[in-house]
Amino acid sequence: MGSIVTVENVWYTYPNGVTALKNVNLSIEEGPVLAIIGQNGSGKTTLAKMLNGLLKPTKGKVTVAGIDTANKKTYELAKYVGYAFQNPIRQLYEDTVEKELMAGPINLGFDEAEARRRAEMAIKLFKLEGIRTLRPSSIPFPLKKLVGVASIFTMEPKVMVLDEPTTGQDHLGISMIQNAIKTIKDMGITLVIITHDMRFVLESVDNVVVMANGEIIREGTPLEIFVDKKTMEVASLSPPQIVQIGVRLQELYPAHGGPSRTVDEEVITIKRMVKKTN
Amino acid sequence: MKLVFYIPGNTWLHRLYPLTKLTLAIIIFYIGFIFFNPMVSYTLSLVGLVFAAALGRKYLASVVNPLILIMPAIFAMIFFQSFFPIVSHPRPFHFFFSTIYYNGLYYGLELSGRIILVIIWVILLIVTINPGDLFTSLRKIGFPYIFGFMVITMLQFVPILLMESQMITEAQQSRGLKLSGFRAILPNLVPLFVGAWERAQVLAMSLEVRGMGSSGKKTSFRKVKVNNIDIVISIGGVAVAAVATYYSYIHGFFNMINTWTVTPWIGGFIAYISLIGFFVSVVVAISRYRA
Repeated sequence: MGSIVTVENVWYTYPNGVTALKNVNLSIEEGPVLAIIGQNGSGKTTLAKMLNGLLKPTKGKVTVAGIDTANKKTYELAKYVGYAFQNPIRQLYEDTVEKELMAGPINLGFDEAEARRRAEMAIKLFKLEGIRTLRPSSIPFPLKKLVGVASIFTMEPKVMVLDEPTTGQDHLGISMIQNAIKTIKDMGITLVIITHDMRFVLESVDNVVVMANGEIIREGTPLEIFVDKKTMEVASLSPPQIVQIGVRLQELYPAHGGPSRTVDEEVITIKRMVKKTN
Repeated sequence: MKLVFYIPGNTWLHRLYPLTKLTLAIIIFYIGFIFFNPMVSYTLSLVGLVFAAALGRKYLASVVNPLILIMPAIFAMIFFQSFFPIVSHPRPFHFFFSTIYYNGLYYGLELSGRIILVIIWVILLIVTINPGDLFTSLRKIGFPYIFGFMVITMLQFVPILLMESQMITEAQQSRGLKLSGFRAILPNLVPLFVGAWERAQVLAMSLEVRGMGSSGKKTSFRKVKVNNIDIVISIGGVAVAAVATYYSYIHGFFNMINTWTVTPWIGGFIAYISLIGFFVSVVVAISRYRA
């Protein structure tokens, strides 16, 4: 698969003089789920806002599906890049969840029948049947977040940017988001996720970009990143506990073989190690 | 477009007691309004601009930027009054192919001078008076505590709501909304009101759990005190206002509407410059507003 998004030598300076991106280069492949991680103020959101034209590079070039974002308005890029904001309250305005899900396709110029078809699909996928007639502003925060993501999903963009999708979510909410991510990926939509939830990254993401001080300092798979102590230190990040346990066990027992992504995988690794040593 | 807010600093104007500044501004408005003479309002406006420049570049910018936005209205006022006066006995004169009216020109200059005067001095007050200090000093003269608190809280909400509004606009653009015309109102206002309502509810609860509404005398950690310079300025200001009142009474408010005459060249020049100024300032104001 080719690149759906390319970021070439991008710099961005805010009007207050703060340079948030410094010569950033990134190529996002079509298909794999990508996470952008880094501490607050590292430039994650600024980079993400470049993808749908909310911010234009001060220097450099961003292309989405071959289109230079510099000459396009955000609403023109919305059919290529959907952006689910961290705070869903800013996105939701209709009087029912169902209408909320239809609003994006209607904005893009699709007729009501098509908008309804997409809304029905999103309701099934995100399990929103029970709240479809409720007012979005009145539902609990975790559900608001789901509706926010679903309202972007119905636009069927080529790339979906999810800003902190697991913040404020309980276990059930996170697993719903994880299931939705799998389905969205299977539908051929490329996902870019900004998050501080390292466990979520480990379990649900294919590739990771680490940012610090406006620069990309490392790219790789979640496990490659989490075992790289120097990168984690520079980015002020802490790997998930399951990785920390795996790393410690490997240090103590080299036969361990290295950290795993899930508890089940770790149990299998330990069993194998115990068998070997016996 | 940027709104004008308090700019923290330690200039001589910042150090004045808030009520002294308020008194000074009221006296300046009073003098500007009792004389029906554009020279007075423009001179006092110029004094305000000099004060702003003396305070520093950002203070001058805070005063000048809003002025640029209202310049189209100022120029239009002078132009329309000069060519289509509403005053009686407008005293016409000919300038090339057009008829201009002395009294209309005078009236337009006077009204625009008063508007500029008020804007400059109100902004000077806003940028140099900390709202907290203002209400602390108002409380000392019997102003209700709760009212001051409400006003300060409301003022703190303004920049937050502006930022929120910007983020909502971004969120809606990301959903493919073109954000123009009537269709754009609902997607922007609903999230803004819902967000503001939730914020206000959380704030109200937060205030209650921290003892807001309890009985007894309220203290304040803000210390504002009257210095000698405040007394001098206040007494001096009142004295100037008294002298101005006396002179305006003796000299008929310095109203020269029926005697003020300049050569047709100068009168015509002012009138036509205001017309050109109108178009130029519209272009400048639109570009500033977009920025």
